[in-house]
Amino acid sequence: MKRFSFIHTADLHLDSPFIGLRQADGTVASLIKDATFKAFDNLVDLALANKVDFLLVAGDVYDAADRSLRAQLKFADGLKKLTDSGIRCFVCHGNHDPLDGWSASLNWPEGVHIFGSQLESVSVDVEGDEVVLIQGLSYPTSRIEDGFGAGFQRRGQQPFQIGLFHCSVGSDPAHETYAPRTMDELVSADLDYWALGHVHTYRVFKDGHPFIAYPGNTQGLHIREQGPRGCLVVQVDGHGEVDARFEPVDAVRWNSSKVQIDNLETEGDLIETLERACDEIRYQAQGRPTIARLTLAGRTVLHSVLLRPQVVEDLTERLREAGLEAAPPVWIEQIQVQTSTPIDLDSRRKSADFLGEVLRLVEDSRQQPARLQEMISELYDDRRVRRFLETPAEEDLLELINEIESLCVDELVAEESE
Amino acid sequence: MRLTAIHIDGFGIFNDFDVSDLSPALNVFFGDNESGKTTLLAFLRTILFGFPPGQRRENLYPPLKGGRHGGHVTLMGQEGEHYVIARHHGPKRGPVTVTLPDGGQGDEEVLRQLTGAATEDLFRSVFAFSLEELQSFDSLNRQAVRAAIYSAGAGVGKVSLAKVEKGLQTSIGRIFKPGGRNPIINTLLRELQEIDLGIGQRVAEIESYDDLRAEIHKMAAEVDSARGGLDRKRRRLDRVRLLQRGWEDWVSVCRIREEVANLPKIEVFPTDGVTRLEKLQERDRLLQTYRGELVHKIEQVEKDLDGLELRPQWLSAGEQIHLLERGLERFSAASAELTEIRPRLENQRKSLEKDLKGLGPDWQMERLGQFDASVSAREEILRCQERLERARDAKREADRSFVRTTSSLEQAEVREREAEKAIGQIPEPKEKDPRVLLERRLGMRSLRNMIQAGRDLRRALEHLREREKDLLDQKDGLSEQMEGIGTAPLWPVAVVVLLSVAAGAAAGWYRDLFAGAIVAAVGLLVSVALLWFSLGQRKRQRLQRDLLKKQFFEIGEKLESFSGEEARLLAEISVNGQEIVGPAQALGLAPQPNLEEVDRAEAAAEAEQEALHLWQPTQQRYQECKEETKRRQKELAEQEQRMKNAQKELQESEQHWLTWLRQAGLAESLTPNGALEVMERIRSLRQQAGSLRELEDRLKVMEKLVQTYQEEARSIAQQLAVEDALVEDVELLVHRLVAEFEHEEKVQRSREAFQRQFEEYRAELEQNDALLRQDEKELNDLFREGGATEEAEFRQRAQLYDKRSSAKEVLEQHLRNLENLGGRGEDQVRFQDELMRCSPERLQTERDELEQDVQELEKEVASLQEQFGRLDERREQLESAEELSALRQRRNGLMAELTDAARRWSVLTICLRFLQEARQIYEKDRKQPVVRESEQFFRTITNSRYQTIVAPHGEESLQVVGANGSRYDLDILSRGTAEQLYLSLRFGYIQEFGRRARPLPVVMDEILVNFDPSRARAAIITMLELAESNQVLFFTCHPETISLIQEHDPQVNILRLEAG
Repeated sequence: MKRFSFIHTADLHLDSPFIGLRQADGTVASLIKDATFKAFDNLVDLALANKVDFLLVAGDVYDAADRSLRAQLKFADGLKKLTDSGIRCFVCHGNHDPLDGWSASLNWPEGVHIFGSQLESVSVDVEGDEVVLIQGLSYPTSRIEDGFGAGFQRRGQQPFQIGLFHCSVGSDPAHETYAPRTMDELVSADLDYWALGHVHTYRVFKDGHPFIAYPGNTQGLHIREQGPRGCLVVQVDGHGEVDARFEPVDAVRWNSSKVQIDNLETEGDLIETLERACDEIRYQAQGRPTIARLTLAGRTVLHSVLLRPQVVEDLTERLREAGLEAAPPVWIEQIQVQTSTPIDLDSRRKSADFLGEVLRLVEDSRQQPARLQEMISELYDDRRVRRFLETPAEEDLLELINEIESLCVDELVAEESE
Repeated sequence: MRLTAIHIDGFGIFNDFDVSDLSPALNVFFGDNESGKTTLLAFLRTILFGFPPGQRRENLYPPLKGGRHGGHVTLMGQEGEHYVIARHHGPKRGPVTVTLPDGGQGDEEVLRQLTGAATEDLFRSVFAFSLEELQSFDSLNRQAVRAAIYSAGAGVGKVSLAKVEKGLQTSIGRIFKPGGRNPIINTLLRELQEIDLGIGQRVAEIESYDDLRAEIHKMAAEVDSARGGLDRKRRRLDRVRLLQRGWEDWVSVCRIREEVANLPKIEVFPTDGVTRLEKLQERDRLLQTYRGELVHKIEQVEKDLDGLELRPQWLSAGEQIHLLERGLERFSAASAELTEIRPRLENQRKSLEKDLKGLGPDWQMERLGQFDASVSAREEILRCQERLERARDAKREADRSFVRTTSSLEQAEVREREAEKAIGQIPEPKEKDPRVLLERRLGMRSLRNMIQAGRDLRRALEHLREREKDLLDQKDGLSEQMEGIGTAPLWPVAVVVLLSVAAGAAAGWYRDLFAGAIVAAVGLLVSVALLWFSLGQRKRQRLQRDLLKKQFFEIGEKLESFSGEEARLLAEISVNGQEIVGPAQALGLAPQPNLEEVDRAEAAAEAEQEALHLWQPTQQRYQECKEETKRRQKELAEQEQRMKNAQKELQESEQHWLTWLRQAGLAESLTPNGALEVMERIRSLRQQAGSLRELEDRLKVMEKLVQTYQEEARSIAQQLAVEDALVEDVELLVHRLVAEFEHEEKVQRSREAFQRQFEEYRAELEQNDALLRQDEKELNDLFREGGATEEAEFRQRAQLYDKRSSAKEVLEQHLRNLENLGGRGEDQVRFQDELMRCSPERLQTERDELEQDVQELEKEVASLQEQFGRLDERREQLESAEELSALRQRRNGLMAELTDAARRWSVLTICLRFLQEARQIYEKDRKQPVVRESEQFFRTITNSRYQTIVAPHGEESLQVVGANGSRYDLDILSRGTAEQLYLSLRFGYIQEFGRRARPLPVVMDEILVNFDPSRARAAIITMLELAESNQVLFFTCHPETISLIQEHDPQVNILRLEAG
């Protein structure tokens, strides 16, 4: 068998907007506007540089709901660049870009194969020998039956067989479940490589026979999608042994860092610490621009300073200015304050005074999240608000309790130190 | 604590005023106006807490009727012990003295303990107040009371809860208001709606992309077809225009072809035949002319050569003549120098001889050379000079020092005599060491301390013995008391039991059994009561005995400790006596001296010290003067020696100089400077002699040179046979020789030039003849080429050939034009064919039609292209549109902000809710104890018109709750009700205070005046309740109030107060 190589990618989400990014303008706006495209360009350049034999795209190239013509055209342009260099491309569609989703009627370049809604097999020859058989299918519509995608099975004489599919393996709370497959089902199909898509985080389920992996998305889109994002560059040797290596292609990196400030005493110390944190983030980004969230934590005397109006905003602005001037830039998306006053809450909770009473009420509310929902119903039941926001789930509200507790303490103890 | 008696020495209208027998409960002071109720209230405050400080500007109640300003009160403590607190006006708000129960004295601190740490402020506002203070809520609003009434300090620090809640509400309102427009969330919602609208529009546009592409495709086909038709018409129009342009050429071609056909055919003729013929003929003519000129020139040169003659001997002597010419300048210069040197030489010789004589009669040239004028000789002179000068300076200096020292010695001797006289006038002390005297004084001081300590010890012993005697007396008293306490007997019980049994039996016997039982039972009951009483009595007696025993033992223990103390003191006294003996004898005193002896000895030692202080400095001065005289004498001897040494050195250096002069052969009278001058002159004469010798040598060389040159010149002139060879003037002769030789050279150069020219002319003539022969041959060849035998025929044939050729050229030009228009080969054939078949008129008509068609078609294509361009532009816009992405990105940003704001709103709202809930709980369940107590009093006084008092949490305000549950702020209460509330709060506070500290007496001055009879009655009941725990002093001038009080407590202690 001739040796060959390919790139396995998925979830490009071209032109999808970044989620949760406030007040991004100027340099940052242009960075994020083109980030998904730049990541795709990096992917194409990687394929050309590695002279791979073909490219596999396992769904969610773009979000049909976004109606981004630009995404589809840029995707077609990228594939053309690859096929012009003799790299064939195999694409299946996923839940975000199903076949019945809106798409412009584009002419795909010669050498691009888009899988239809019925399972198809395409043979790929390497230097004249038919070595690889790729089986794949696309989502006909965004909502599919759980059993969709059955029928992947070794067939034909090609020594190396690949399954290209957009689906869930097991269950993942971070992603909606689509066409769920168990590991046993995947293994029993007797294929050599499962090129999966859907889950946005790189994960290898099985490094052996078959090789089963999600490459993750090519560009993180929100603060929970931190760290390197990219694709798998796969080398298959003469015995069909797989050597897959993860290569980051993301254009902008997300980072969320917790900064302990317990022992700091002055604002100067704080700025110095945060600048050091930014330097560390910059170092981790391996030359890419980064969007970072800094969470300040710890019991600190600075807590009351941080609660003063405009202090956090000014701090954010200062770090943003410095962050954009440096190379590569670091854009501070947000500074979250999760600090607390240096007060022993447990002992205060036991005291018979007013603060103790309040703290006990707060503590009791942990057992009755429904009460919390009732307290904030004025906002979430508002007709106009309902269009955009849902009432937070009970577990989300419980996450607020510490912040509420901290606020109560600050309000009641604030002037004690003054 | 309570008051038992009051004594005023002098305070306001009171003078030597006493109140005693105060009840522990309620005491009513009844008196008319100006009877001193308020003064008494002020007196009690003053005694307990001091006179008001000056800056408060309060009434100090100065004693109007005499007596010392102040007085005292007697207080009874918890255990029934009495303290007397006395205070009189004085510094620091009047000093207080506290007489303790045991007769000892205490200070302010003891008083503070008695008043249970109540501050003056608290006492004034809560415990001792008048109507005026009751009416003002401010008097309750002092720090200590405030803390007890309000919730401040109960975990909220200095924070105002109302302020916190208000702040939170403001923050919440800034984030969201239902139906609001400007709060953050409301603004965000509006923006989001706008963005969604924008997104909807962009999406609709993008969904039309495929239709747009189809339309573009169709439009492109239309444009192509229209453009094809236009191209065809344009091509035909171009063809017609070409045919029109080619028409003239075509007509010319036809005409020229016909002309050429009519001319005779001369196909070959030499190119430019006639021109070439004329050129050959012209060249031949020129060559003939030049030949004639050359022959003439050759003849002329031959004639010139014959006219020139040569003298060969002159040419061979050329080299010698050149040498003479070159040496002529040197010869002339040497002759001139000779003339100049000779007189100068003579002058110098004479001058030198004269200068030598100036040095001295025996100075010759030889001696000039022998004299040593070297640098070392000069240095030696300078050394001698320096040594002489140094020796003279040293001599002068030594003389001066000797004179100075002699004068110093005389002064020192005078000072010594004066000091000796001074010391003779002061007596010499016995002890000359000050340290010995100091030690003696210190010894006396310590001895005095020891004697003093001995006295103290003896006094302490006496005091101890007195106290011991007292305790022994007390002990005897206790023994007697103990013996006095007997034991209650039990035998009467037994007697009563027996008697009742007997009486019962008797009654049963005489009357009936029932009566017997009754009697017996009564008797038994009496005996039980008697038994109970006796046992109680016995228990009391036992307790009393135990107490006395305990005291007895305590006294015994004290006595034991006293005897130990006495032994210790005796021992110390004995040790002290022994310690004194040693130091006293050392100081020359009696073994046990008294203090007066020690004082006398110390005064003597002090006098000795003073005498020593006086004698010491004079003695020291005398010694110093003596030493100085000795030092000066020694110095004078040294100076004398130095002077002698200097004299000797001067003589030696003068002798050395004379020796040197003799050796150099110079006069002994010369000073070193004179010797140096002689040396300079000898050097100058040596230089003059040298230059004279050089001049003589130069003269000899010049004379030799002149002679040699003259001989040489004359010898050459003779060789060449010049007639004046022996003339005297050699210079003239040389010039003649040179002139002759140059002439001969010139003749020779002319001959050589003519010879060269002759040969050149000959060569040119031969070349010219060869060219003439070649031209003749070329002419014959040209005629043959042109098919002619002679010139005229040649010229005629040339004319015919030219005419035919030019017609052909014109034809070619036209054909080329046609080719440019219609192409070559087949195309050209078709082009000419078309021309042959058409006419200019037909062509013009077709052209006009075509131009119109093209114009119309161009317009159509432009219009179609414009439409296409618009569509394609639209397509490009859609393909590159980033607006939708930007809008989605913006939407996400706004959503993030909305989520943040909603989260913040939720946090603030929930926080506010918790604070409100906690406040409600606090106000309801955690009421301050003072408020709770006060509530009871207030309910009673207002006959349950008001139920509760509320202190809203975190606020410094009070509200009362009526029977119907409504809350009222204090400022809307009637004056009477407000006073009742304030009185209740005070009572509440007093009760609460009593639980934590010792109860204090309460003093109230005329506080019921604004109470209606029903509430006054209720107030009196509460006052009596209060009097159960606290002593109450109530001042009033109203008899009806007295009656009311007596109604409820007929036994109440009423004290009549009369002025003064």
